[in-house]
Amino acid sequence: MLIEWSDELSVGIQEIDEQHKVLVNLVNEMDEAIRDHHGREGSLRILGRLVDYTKIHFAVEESLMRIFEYPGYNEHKAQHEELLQEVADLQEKIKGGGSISFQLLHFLKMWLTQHIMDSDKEYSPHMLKAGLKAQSSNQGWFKRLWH
Amino acid sequence: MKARRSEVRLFHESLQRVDENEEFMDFFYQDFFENATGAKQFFSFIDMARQKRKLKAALHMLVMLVDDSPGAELYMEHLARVHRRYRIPPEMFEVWLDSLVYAVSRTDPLFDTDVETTWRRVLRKGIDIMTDRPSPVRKPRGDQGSRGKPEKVHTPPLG
Repeated sequence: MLIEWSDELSVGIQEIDEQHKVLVNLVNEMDEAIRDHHGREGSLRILGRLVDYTKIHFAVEESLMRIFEYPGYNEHKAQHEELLQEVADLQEKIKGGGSISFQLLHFLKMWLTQHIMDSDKEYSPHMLKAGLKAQSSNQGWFKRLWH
Repeated sequence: MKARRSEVRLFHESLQRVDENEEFMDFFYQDFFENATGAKQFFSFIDMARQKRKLKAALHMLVMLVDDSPGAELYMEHLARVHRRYRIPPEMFEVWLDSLVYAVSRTDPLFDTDVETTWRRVLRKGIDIMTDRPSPVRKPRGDQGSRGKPEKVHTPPLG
């Protein structure tokens, strides 16, 4: 397993943690697909799902930041945009014949873990203080939409 | 330029030693602010505790880079793109390097010329990626702990 979920990665907000776990699982799935030689198409499919899910997750985070008037919103949004642009560029390269390498996988691992542990953990105290509930009693709307 | 195993180990061990010393970051930022004009003003808006964590993470990333860990170079290139929006002049990276070496000289009890050379080589590799080109060879400021009179560099306004 490329990324093992641990409390160190928790931002203290259940719904966000659940979304991060999905991202972690998708990166791990891609790792397995490459190791098990599922082929370029299989890996590309997972990368596509990862990109789609990441876009939705970023939109959720950014909405929460706006709702709770997080002061670091602009910087955080810029980080999201940079990653999406880079992954889009990589996707294009791969579609053009390049391969999904362990370099890319490890880059995604580093980005995801660093981003969660640094930037995401920065916003959670602000949101919790502003009234966001750490635990959601019902299954989140986001989880209901994504399978 | 591939780092030798011994060099990677030397850097890693020195980094571990300075990591244990809380003054390492303070020496670094104090020296950096003194020698990079405008940096102090820029960082006055930054959460320094967080900034120190980021610098620490970046130094550990450099270990991975010189160790040829998969993804490390891509990640450094990503960091370079992130920093590019701040339009940091290349000279600023040179001050950054000198200030780090200065902080190591003050906090690594085993600091010697080998340790200094290793830090400079490793940091240079990071700078080359951050500035997207090999940096000019530049004479280091002063000797280990004692500093020569540094030239001032200017931070451009953000925008």
